[in-house]
Amino acid sequence: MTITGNTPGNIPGPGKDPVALLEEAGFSLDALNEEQRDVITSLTEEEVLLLLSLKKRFDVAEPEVQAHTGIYAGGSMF
Amino acid sequence: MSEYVSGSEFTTGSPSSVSTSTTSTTSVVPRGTALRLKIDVATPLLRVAMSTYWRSGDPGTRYIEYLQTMHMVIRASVPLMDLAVSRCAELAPYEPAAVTLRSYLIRHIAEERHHDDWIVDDLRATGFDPTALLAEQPAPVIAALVGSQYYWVNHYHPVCLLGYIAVLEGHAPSSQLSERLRAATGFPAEAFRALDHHADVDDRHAAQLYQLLDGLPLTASQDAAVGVSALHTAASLTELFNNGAHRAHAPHGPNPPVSPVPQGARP
Repeated sequence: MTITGNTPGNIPGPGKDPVALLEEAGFSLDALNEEQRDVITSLTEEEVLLLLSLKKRFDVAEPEVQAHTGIYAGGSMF
Repeated sequence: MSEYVSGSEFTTGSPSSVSTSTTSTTSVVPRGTALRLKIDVATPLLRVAMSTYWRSGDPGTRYIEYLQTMHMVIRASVPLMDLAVSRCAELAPYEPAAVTLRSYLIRHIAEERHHDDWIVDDLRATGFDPTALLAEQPAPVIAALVGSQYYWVNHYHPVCLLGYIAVLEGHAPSSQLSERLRAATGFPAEAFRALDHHADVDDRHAAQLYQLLDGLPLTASQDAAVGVSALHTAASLTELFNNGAHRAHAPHGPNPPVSPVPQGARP
């Protein structure tokens, strides 16, 4: 939901729509259908903060690097 | 089927006040589908980190370092699930979800047991002395990745572990990775047992987890906690692979091998 109130800048909180915040940060959410968009709209403040932090810290790959990620490699184990 | 209800309020998620938040329903999405979507938002950065890692430095060195790192992670998997099973038993009289979660975890423990031993065998097949495995302190990012789950399971709710498992099993090594590494490293087939197994079964395990989530009667706070756990896992995993790639590109190269310790010795 959209929380009422004001929070300055690209920070989740009152008055901030998670979809807008994530798109401002550079996440590409254009392809989401309405149901999927509802899920993102309902992200908690903590979830949005984690995504914004992830983007800020690691979105530094060169276009050349990103272009080479077409083949999925993976690698995590549980 | 339990469903993800859009429009839920932000919650503080206090452990003692896990409750269903007020909602204004506009549409419903199964919980598992909703979690998958949240993870998908973070996935492109994780994929870049993994891809960069595998393209950095000498393939053999990469693979040995990877197995060492994964051993640090998955040697905690069964102990984490054991802890979560204990916590579910405590909660079961009050929470129906804990009963279902406990059954799932008990089944999954049987599926995951001794996989850390497989990695030891794989490392030995590469020529690496596995007695060095326990001599190195796991990096802070590994403590953040794994240790957060111990905290959340023990001091909040065991359902958090599902977010962790969903990300790790949802980004398993691909079968193509195994083929490429075999060709690039020249290591024998015996060096890829753990990699091949996880490439083979983890997609199915992840699907089973999402199906479980669809049926779990979670509160909105617990549902959100699974999402936070998953996104924290994705962020830590991204950092883990990024750090590995940076080490390979550092002027001094990757970390030197740790000095072996005597068999059975503890650090």
